Amino acid sequence: MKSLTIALKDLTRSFRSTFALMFMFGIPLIVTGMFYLMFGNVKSDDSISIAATNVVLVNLDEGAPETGKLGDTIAQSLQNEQLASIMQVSSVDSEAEARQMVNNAEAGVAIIIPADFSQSFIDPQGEVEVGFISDPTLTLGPQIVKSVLHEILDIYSGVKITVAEAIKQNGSMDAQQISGLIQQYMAGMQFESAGQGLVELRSPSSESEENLLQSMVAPIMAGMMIFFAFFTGANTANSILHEDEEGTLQRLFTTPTSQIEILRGKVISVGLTVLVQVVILIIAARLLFGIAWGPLAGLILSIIGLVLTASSFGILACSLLKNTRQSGVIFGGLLTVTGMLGMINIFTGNPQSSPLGIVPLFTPQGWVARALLFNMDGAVIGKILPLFLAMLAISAVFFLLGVWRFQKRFA
Amino acid sequence: MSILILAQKNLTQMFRDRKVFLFLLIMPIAFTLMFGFAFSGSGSASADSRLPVGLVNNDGESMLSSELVQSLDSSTVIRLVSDDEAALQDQLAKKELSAVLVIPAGFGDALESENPQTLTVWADTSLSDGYSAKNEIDVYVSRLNNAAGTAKVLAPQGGTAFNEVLSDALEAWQTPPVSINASTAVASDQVEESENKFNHSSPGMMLQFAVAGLLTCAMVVVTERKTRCLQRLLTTSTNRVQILFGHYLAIFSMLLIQFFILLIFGDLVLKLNYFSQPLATLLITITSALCISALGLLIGVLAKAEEQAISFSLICMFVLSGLGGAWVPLEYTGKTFQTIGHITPIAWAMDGFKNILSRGLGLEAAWLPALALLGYAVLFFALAGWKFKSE
Repeated sequence: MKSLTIALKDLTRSFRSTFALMFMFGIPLIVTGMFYLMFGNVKSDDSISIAATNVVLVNLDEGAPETGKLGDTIAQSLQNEQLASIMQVSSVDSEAEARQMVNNAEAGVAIIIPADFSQSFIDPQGEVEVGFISDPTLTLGPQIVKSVLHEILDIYSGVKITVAEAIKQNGSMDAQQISGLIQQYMAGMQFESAGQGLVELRSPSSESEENLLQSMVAPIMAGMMIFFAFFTGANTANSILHEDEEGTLQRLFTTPTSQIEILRGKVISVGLTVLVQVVILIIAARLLFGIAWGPLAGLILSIIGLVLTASSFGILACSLLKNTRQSGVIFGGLLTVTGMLGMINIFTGNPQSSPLGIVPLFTPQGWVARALLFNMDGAVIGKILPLFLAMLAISAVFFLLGVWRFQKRFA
Repeated sequence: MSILILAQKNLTQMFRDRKVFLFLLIMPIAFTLMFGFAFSGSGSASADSRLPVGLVNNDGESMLSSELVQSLDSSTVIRLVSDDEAALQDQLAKKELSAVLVIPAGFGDALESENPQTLTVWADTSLSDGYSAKNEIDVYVSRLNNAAGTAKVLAPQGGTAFNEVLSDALEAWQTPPVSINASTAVASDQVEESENKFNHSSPGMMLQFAVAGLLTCAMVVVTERKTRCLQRLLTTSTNRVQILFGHYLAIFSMLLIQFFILLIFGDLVLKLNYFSQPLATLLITITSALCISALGLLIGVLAKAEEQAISFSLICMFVLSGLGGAWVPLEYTGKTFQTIGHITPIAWAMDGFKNILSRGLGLEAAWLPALALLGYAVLFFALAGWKFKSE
């Protein structure tokens, strides 16, 4: 089995190269680790928390004799300690100053309570708007603050609507009656909100309790593994060209070992190298990041598909090169572009059935990514099998073309 | 003069390589479009861009449930999609829906009593869409509950009177008397308040492909060393500083051309406001190009072979783009990571461009990112110079 000997020799040489080790293991794990840290603000109870939004409050409310300064009550609600993890509230004296702070990114949101807030509140027909100015470069933070403000202001709206309805029913009401009505209304609302809220949130996770962080990081790890497996395949295949340029391949051809056996050994080394890389990455990802790869049968099929497509793609790509100086085209161009296209859904979270969801399928990496992602979502083997067969077909085409070109070259 | 001649030689060499056009133009444009559509939804301006939310209404006959559905239908944030629960859950799992709302049987009647039932919302609130959808549902459910609360106080006996008060209250809640007047802080009239969906992806992809192009930049130096041309050059009267600057000028020129083409594309095709603040845009662009060119030069000087150049370039592309917020806005990460991200020059460049695009700010907001980028440029160039001394 000379071909196996050649394959093992090449495999050993691959793993002696620092560059190769960096490519095969270092970069995928570093990038995934980076995203692991990036989203480390996801708490273990599966709720996400972003950095507290800086809120600048301008309370211009002049108050009313009947109610006092209602603006102060709103300010106190916003500055409640329970909201400290969501927003950090500071106060300034003018709207212009608040706006400037948002412009300078010193605050994410400015809340402006108008001067006539209390006056408008006690006027049965009065309407009042609270100003909300947000930083256009932020999305989630201001949204969260706005929802909190909605909750607070809706209490005031509820009271106004109730009083307006009561006046509509009964004609005029004195202050004492209004006060009693408000108390009754507030008591009713508090009674209902004392227990569970009216909306129960449930997370659409799979059957097993899924850690949110893993569901973010796992696809990224899969994407990085695929991206660099293809690089490994091309890089290992590139060694054929290296040996051709160095003259060692020609010396091998002069030995009793047939050319076919030598090339077979080279091809096997590509597959073995990718296989070792993928297996080690899968285990490392499991140990380091706790990534669950899904059902074993589907995972094995996906791994085989990945190894075959990555190896055959590398063989074909290198067979098209005249010399190693052109390898920049493959690494810098073809692999990077096809790799990024194949992973686009992973980084954008795009549904696979959307128009953009099929873009990755124009690349071999996209097929592998789909199989791995489906398997991580717990798909049955029947869903993985067609993808595996597609990868087999793609690999066969690449392999036959690549080997044919190499044979022609060395004939 | 030697610097200019060397730069010209390098530029000629680079532009002879067809893949340079792929990386310079085609790929950045294609990926800007793809990321922009993917993050913000595709489709024409007339298509409904509201978040799709599945609705399962098991309480179809009650007035309150009907009122809730009607209110949600009029929302500017979500649009309802009706189907059976299994199909909707499947769509939610595939991320074709932002949320699924399930109204249980008897919800309306229970809301009128002292023991209301809960609605169920299935949503991934770690995602912006899921959070927004759930939030919008919360607002309308809360208002429905408030209206019911008003009716319970004013017509505790129930019956027709209750329905009348409820109806009046629901109508009043359509325009709440205490409301929020929301706006974004844009400093320029030329910046629209509604966000352009490419505000993040355009500068993000522009910077990422500038960093990805480091490979081409680095290969100039690596190839020159490999072909012994560099060694021959060192024997001439051209000194090391001139050689370094010659390479640097070529890389900088190439990156600047790339930036300008993408800026013009962004402005004309994607309707971004790059040129609403031309001086600020020019400042950020030039300093970004200076910084990334210096990094490319450093990689070229450090790398001894093509494989190393590829390795270093790819590491820079992934790490700097990821950490710097070129893919995912740093806003979605924690405070610590935002701080770490700003160790990278990409984060500063993103800040500069987003200040211009989203806020319409000018030089006053561009100087700090520009200064940071210039600092990185000086640092990378100094390191390249120091390493090149021993070449």
